[in-house]
Parts: sequence; C-alpha cells; structure tokens
Amino acid sequence: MASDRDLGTDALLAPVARWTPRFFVFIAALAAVVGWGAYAYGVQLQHGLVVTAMRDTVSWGLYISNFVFFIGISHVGALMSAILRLTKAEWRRPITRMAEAITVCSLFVGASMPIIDLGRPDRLLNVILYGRIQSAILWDFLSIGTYLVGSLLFFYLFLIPDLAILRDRLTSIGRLRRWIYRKLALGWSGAADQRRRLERSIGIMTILILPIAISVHTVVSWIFAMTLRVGWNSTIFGPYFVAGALFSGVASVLMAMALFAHFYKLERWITPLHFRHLAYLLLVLDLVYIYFTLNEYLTVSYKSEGTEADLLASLYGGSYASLFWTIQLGGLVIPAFLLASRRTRTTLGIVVAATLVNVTMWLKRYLIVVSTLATPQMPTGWASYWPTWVEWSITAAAFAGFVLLFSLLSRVVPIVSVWETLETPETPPGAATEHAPEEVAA
Amino acid sequence: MKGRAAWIVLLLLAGFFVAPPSPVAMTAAATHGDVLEVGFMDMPTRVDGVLEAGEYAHNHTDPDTGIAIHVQYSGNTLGISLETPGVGWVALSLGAVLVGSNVTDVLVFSLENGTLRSLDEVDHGWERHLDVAVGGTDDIIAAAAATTGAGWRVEFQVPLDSADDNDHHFLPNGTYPFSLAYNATSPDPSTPDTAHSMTDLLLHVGPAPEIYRAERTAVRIPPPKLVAGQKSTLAGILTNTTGTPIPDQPVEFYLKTTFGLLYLGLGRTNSLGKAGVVYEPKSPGTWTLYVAFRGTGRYFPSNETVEVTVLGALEPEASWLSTTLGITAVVFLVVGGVWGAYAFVLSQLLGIRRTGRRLVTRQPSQEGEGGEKHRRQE
Amino acid sequence: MDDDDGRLRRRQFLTLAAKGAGIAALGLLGGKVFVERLAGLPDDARVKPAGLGQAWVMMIDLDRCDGCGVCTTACRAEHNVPEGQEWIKVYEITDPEGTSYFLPRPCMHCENAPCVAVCPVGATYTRRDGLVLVDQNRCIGCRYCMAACPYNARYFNWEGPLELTPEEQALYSPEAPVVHRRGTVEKCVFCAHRADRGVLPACVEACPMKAIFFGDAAEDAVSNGKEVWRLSEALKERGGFRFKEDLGTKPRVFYLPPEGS
Repeated sequence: MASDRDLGTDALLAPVARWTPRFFVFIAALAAVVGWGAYAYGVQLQHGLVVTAMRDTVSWGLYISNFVFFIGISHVGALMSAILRLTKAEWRRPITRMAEAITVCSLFVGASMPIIDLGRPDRLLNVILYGRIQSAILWDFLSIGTYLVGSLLFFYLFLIPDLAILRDRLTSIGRLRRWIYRKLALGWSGAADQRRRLERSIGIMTILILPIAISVHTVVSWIFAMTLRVGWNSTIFGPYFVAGALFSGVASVLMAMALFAHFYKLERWITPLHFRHLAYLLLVLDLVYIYFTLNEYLTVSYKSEGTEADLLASLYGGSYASLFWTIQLGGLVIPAFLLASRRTRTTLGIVVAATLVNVTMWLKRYLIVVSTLATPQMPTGWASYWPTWVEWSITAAAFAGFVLLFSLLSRVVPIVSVWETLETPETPPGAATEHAPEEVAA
Repeated sequence: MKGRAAWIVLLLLAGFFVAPPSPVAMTAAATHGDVLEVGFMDMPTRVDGVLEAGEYAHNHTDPDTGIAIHVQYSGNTLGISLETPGVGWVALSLGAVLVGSNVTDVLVFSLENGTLRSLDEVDHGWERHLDVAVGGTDDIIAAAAATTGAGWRVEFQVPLDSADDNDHHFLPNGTYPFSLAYNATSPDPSTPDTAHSMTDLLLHVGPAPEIYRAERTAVRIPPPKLVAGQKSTLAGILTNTTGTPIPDQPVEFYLKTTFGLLYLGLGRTNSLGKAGVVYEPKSPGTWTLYVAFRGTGRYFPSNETVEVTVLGALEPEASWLSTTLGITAVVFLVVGGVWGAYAFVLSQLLGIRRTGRRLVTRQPSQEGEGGEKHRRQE
Repeated sequence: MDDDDGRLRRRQFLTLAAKGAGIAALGLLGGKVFVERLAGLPDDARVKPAGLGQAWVMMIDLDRCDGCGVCTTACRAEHNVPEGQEWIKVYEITDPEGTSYFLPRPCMHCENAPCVAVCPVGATYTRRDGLVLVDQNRCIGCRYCMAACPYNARYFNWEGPLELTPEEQALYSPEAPVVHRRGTVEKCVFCAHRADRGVLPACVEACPMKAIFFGDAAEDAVSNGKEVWRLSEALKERGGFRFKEDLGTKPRVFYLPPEGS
C-alpha cells in the first residue's frame, strides 16, 4: 500500500518536480501574447480610449464583457469546494484544487478588466477616497475584494498539507523553492491541534465562501440592473447571472480537467466518473439557465413595450440575431442534448459540450453589454460597434494571462490535491472524516 | 450778365428753402453747435412712419452718418423719427444711464421683409443686453416704419421717464448726450455698424408750459398677506402727490424674477384709486412685487417695489438619509463580519505555525522531516 | 475532554466574535465618514452661491423650434465644446400621426438623476439649485453615468489632452466647463456660470425663434430673453410635458407640444 501511495504521490507531484521543455515553450508563447496585450494597453494609455471602437452610444464593449465573463467563471471554486464539500460528494476531491485555482486566476484577470476600461486609471484611488456606497461599482469593489481574499485563503488552507508533502518529498528542486514551500507549509506535521485548527478554518471558510460568491456575481449583475436601459432593467438579473456564472464555471473546470488529465498524465485520478458527475451538474445548470432565459425573454416579448420591442426585434431577427441564436442553440440546446443522451455523454462529448458552453457564455456577456447600448434611446438610428485591434489584443492577453497564471500555478503546486485524494483508496468512500494522511501513523 | 443771373438763381433757391410752405422749413434746423433742441408740443406724434406737417418740433441731420433725426415731446412721451440712408439697422444711443458710467440706453430698429424689429437695450461698454434679459422692461411705446427711396424711416415713442432703471430718464430743461449709428446693408442688429456719429451730440429737452406740466403721481401697494397655493388679491393705490386718488387708470402688477419682470395682471383704479389683481403664489419665501403706473400725457409714471413674504409649509426634504444609513450600516456590518472571520482564520494559521515550530524544536533529530517520518511509520 | 473541548470552542467563538465586532466597528466608522460625505458634500465648490435660484428649469416651445441648430452652435462657442459632442442636440421626431417636429435636448438635470446615483466617486453631483454638474478633477472615466442616462445627454472625451496647463486649470470649474480633459465625462450645465450671475444661458439668448425659456421654478417664471412667461400657466394651457416621464427621472426640462398634436 505504501508503495502504491508513493507511486501515486510521485505521479501527482511530477508536474511540479519537473518542468518539461514543452512547458517552457508554452509559457513563452502565452507570455508573448500577454506582452502584445501590454503593448496594446500602452497604446491606449498614450492616445486615449479613442483607439477602441467605443463611442458615446456604445460606451462599454469588450472590456466590460471580459470582466463579467471572468468574474463569472470564478464562482466554480465556491461551487466545487464549498457546496460539494457540504453535500459530502467524495468524488470532488481530485478536482477541487483545479476549481479553486480557476477562481483565483480568473478573479485577478477579471478585476483588472474594469481598470483597463477606465478613462483615468491614474485616478483609481478616488474610488477609495471618495467612494459612494450607493454606487454598484463600490459594491463590486467590496464584494470582489472580499471574495478574492477569501478565495486566496480558501486555496491556501487546502494547500497546507500538500505544501508539507512538497517540502518533504521534493529534494530535486532548487533551494529557493524548497525554502518557499517550507515557509508556506507553516511547519505542518499533522499534529492533532494543527489538524483541529485547519479543520475549523476550513469549516468557517466553506460556509462563508458561499454567500460571498453569490453576492459577487449578484452585484456585478446589479451594475446593469440598476439602470433604466432596455434589456438591463430586469429584476431577474441577480439569480440569472449567478446561474450563468456557475454554468460557465463548471464548463471551465471540465475543459481544465480534460487538458490536465491528458498533458499531465493524470488519467488515474481524473476519471470518466468525474467527467460524468460534472456532466450531470452541467446539464442541471444548463436546464436552470434555460429556465431563466425563458423567463427573461418570454415575459419581455409578451408585452413588448416601447424600446424593448426594438431590442427584441434586433435579437430575434435583426443585426444581433446571428449572435443571439448561436448562443441559445449552440450554448444551451446542443450541449443539453449532448449531455442528456448516453451515447454522446462520452468524455469527448462532455468536453465538447463544455467548450461550446464556455465560448457561447462569453458571447452572451458580449451580447448583454453591447446590444443594449446599441439600442437607440433617443430618435436616432442604431449605433454600431466592432472592436479594434487594441481591444482584441487586450482580450487575447486576458485569456492568455489567465491560462498563463493557471499553468504556472499547476506547476508550482500539485493540481490534484494529494492529501485529499490519496487517502481515498485507504478508506471507504463516505467513511473518511480525517483528512491528513498522517492520521494513520502512530 | 452771367454773374447777375447766377446770383438771382441762388437767391431764388435760398428763398425756396426758407419759404414757409417748404417741408424743410417746417421743422426749424435747430442745432446751434451740437445741441438738438427737443421742443414741447401739444400733440404727441402719430406713429405711422410718415412725417406730417407740424408733427415734430425740431430736426437734425448728422453729418457723419447722414441720419436725419426729428424730435418732440408731449406730456411725458418722447417722439422721435430716424431716417437712415441705408437698408440695414439704425440705432439711437442715449447717454450714460448713470452719471459717469459707460452704461448707455440703446434703441435699435431694423426693417426686414416688411417686418419692423425694435429692441430696447442697455449696453455696458461692449456688452449688449436686452432690457428684458437683465430684469428691465421693453419701454418702446410704439414704433412704425416706412421705406424712403434708398433708405427707410422709423417713427417711435418712448417715455421721457420710464419706470425702468435700464432706460435713460429725461427731464424738462435737461441736456443729455446721444449718438447715432447705422448699418448700410444688414438688418441683423448683431452686425457692427458701418457708420456712427463722431461728434458729441447733445439733446436739450425744452421747458414744459405750465398748464401742460404733467402731474406727479405715486402708486403704492400695502404688503399683502400671501400663502403659497392660496389665491389672494394684490391691491395698488394710485394718488397724486397731495394724496388725491386718481381713478380709472391702468396699474400693472409684476413679480421681480431673476430674468425679468413677470407680468401678473392689470387692474383699473376705481374711484378710490385702488386697483387689484388676483394672484396665487407658487412657493413660499421672500419675493419682490413691483407695481407700475405707466403714465399718460397728464400724469407722470410711478412705481413701487415691495418685498413680500409668502407663507407656506416648505416641503420637508425627503429624509433618505435614514435608509442609506441603514444600508450602509448593514453593508459594513456584514463585510466587517466576513473580514473578522478572515482574521480568525489567519489566527488559526499562525497557531498552526506555532505548533509546527514547537514540534520541530522539541524533536531536533527530525528537523525538517517530521512529517515524512510520521507518514512512513504506518 | 469534552469540557476542555467545549471551553476551547467557546473561547474560539468568542475570539471570532470579538474580532468580527472590532472590524465591524471600524467599518461603521468608515461608514459614518461616507454618510457624512453624502449628507453634506462638504466640498465648498459644491454649495450653490447664496441667493440666486432655487430650482432652475427650462421650457422649450416645440411650436417655435425650427431645427436651425443655432442653440447647438452657441453652446459650442460658449464652452469650447469638443468636436463630436452636442451638449444641446436637436432631434427630428415624426410622431405616429405623421407630423414631424424638432426637439432640442439639453441635459435634463433630473431631480432623480440616474447618473448621480451610479457615480462611484461622486464626480457628478446635484447642486442645491437642482443643477447636475460634473467635476472633471474627480471623474475616473468609468462611463457608468453614460450607461445610466436615458437621454444620451452625457459625452465622453475619448481623446485630447490628459492634463491642463495652469492657465487652463484656472479657467475651469464644474460650473464653467470651458476646457476639457481626456478620459472624463461632461455635458450641458444649464450655463451655471451665467445663471449664477443672473444671465440667461447661451442657447436661450441665441435662439432666433425665441423657443427656449429658462427660469426659476420657485418663482414660476421663465424667460426667453424677450418675454417672461408664467411657467405653471404655460404648461397648463399648452399641455406641457417632460420627455420620458414614465422613467421617473423627474427631468427639469418641460416641452410645449407643437400645434395640432
């Protein structure tokens, strides 16, 4: 058993212990994209926001769409770690850290997007100095800030025993890294009172992280819902956005699982069982999201008052129709069928569905932001918006940056939680309550 | 022979110009030096754009502009006619409204497509403002225009002594500076002039005959009791200087507002000299009422300004403070609580570190390998 | 063992509670500061000059407006408005019956302004006399106010100089936005700098049809430079309305409908 466990540990630690040349090439490519995005931002800082395609009518565009998207997928951490932990779903163990890592990385990238969108980023401090509590942006500031710190704490708490393993097992890595691991491991040795403290902290954070996460995307949605714009002036936005966030978050985890299982050779731990469980979860969230979508559009279409009629006409058959129907069919209907039918619910089918979902959810955020702003409020024609190279570059850099952070994280700590996973072969599912491997020792 | 004929022609011509039936002789060229005499006449002018025989007392043609100005006054109405050689606007500027200042009362007239525009302005140096735009009134009583060959003529009347502080006040026996200007082509008054009078011209208002001297009047309004949203009557009393009420005269009521006088209504004085108007004030506060009698041939105009307080419950400022205060308190309590929990977790982490250090120092042989040893001992 | 555990748990809980309370108290203190700021807006620049105006309103007679656009030009000249911005903009509207007319749209200076509600830094604020102004020294350019305005009355400086020279800075005030900085939002201010002196706004004086009236609703009087009308009477007689009344923004611009509509 010990050798089995050790082999397992070795396999899980391998990506951390050894960085392949292929990885360096990958990182270099991502860094190049991020660098190009930084250059584009430099151009924007020099000439002003005139280099984007945003103008006085469509005054928000890609940047805010990215913001909503990235903050959206950050909910997956709370879902995986907190909800699944509370419901004692043991199968979650290999994927919780992945989910938490997605949360942390996406929060960083997402929070930087509105700053890039600002006309005067040099005055960012005004938000703290002169902040108005009545503004939804302040609520965002508080909520995302609290969630970021909470997620980092949450991530770190679950990492401590693995840091101890890294400290003890990885002798081949550099002295600096060993020193960092040792410091961050806080002298973890599995002692009883350490376990008790960790358990208590995890317990508190698990319960706390859920309402915080829900509040985050709720207040993000309220940025839109607190205005009088058609398409945004809806009371359903809070739960709609949270459901959408969980939806795209689960899809992101599925994509990450497929990539890590393949590239880090972790098929033993990220099994078809996990894919299937998450597929069910994705399907349920898909149906919930369809329910909300129907609520939103059916009620508005039924009455079709005033300017709402203009927006709907554009979505159903006008300039935004192709985008709208791609999202509904490609992102909601097709994945539902892929996930529901046993024949297509293979690992490949599930991952395809997840990718479709993620891509269309990004398109959906774009649609929400841009189609409403383009709808004329005064007696003029429709405004048009097609992003410029600056906006595309920064968007690409955001995605590249996210993948970069995530990949680096996966090479610095084991992406599958060692101490949570490896005790499962020992103990029957559901019976294990102690988490530290050391518990079995004298 | 030729020389004598020339002299006869000249004499005949001179005779033509000074013989009584000649229209030119009707109005005595009455400028000695640069002073234009404004004579008193029994009848005020008829404002129709046409110069009738005996309508005006005196005239003058300004050498710099070529504008012909005819003047007279009757009672307290000043009648003026300006004839401009061009087709554009023409203006008469009446000397300093306040002695020593550069504030002038300007009357501008333009004729465009048969429509006469008349503007009563007050100019502060280069800044031009309509009287109405700075809280005054448009005091041109009447105006009419007619084309005259290449140019055109405007006939108008203004009060000698209007109730407006932005206008020049004339008194009999007074001498006042004035100047003329016109634009040869453009009727748009905002364009600059093409010619203006260069010399210092003076108007001398002649003495008024005893029997036609207009009576001085006084109008006053006792401060009314006003409540916002309620109708009340504003009463004005018109008397002469000895206190005798003047019946059957129009008295106008105004409210002094930021951008001018708001007309509230007109009342006719009864046998007791009282005129009234119904008024419903909108908002409480302190307001300024202005009551004016415009004057006639017999009576000088008079006016009075009085401050009134309008009572009424002021709308209480919507106290949204409490709701916002509540929301703020809740938000900060919740956020504070969460960060308090974070602080607790941090304290737990520190506790873990403390234990870890303690264990390491207690078992020096297992320094750095404590965990591993534990795990291997299963 | 149980007792110990119990005591430990209780102690832990008390520690947590104490820490949470401490943070909450600090938070409340911060909240108090926020609230004070909300209540008083103590910046002196935001208190209106005493005496002049309590509730500025504008009234536009659509029967007289002929769509000439002189108001836009005069406003542009008065404030040096950047290219592409029209602080007062004339729209041509054709109603369902087929009559078409022109509607000038300045900033509505709403009593319940959505732009003021959403600004995260309070750069846009309502003065006591009802005017909604923008402080370009504070605006961070997030453009939330532009998303919130239902009348498209706010404009963003997408380009231009980032900072002003000291001379330009001396010219600038939120009441007289005559110089403009990149990355900030601005709009019609009802010529606050003129109203403070008792002079009508530039568009009012310039309108050749004398269609735009301006005045103090508390005085119930509006003037277009030639005539002074009683606001309440004009609105009642002509059936005056406000644009997008149903949104609840309570705009300060009243429109008199054109004849025969």
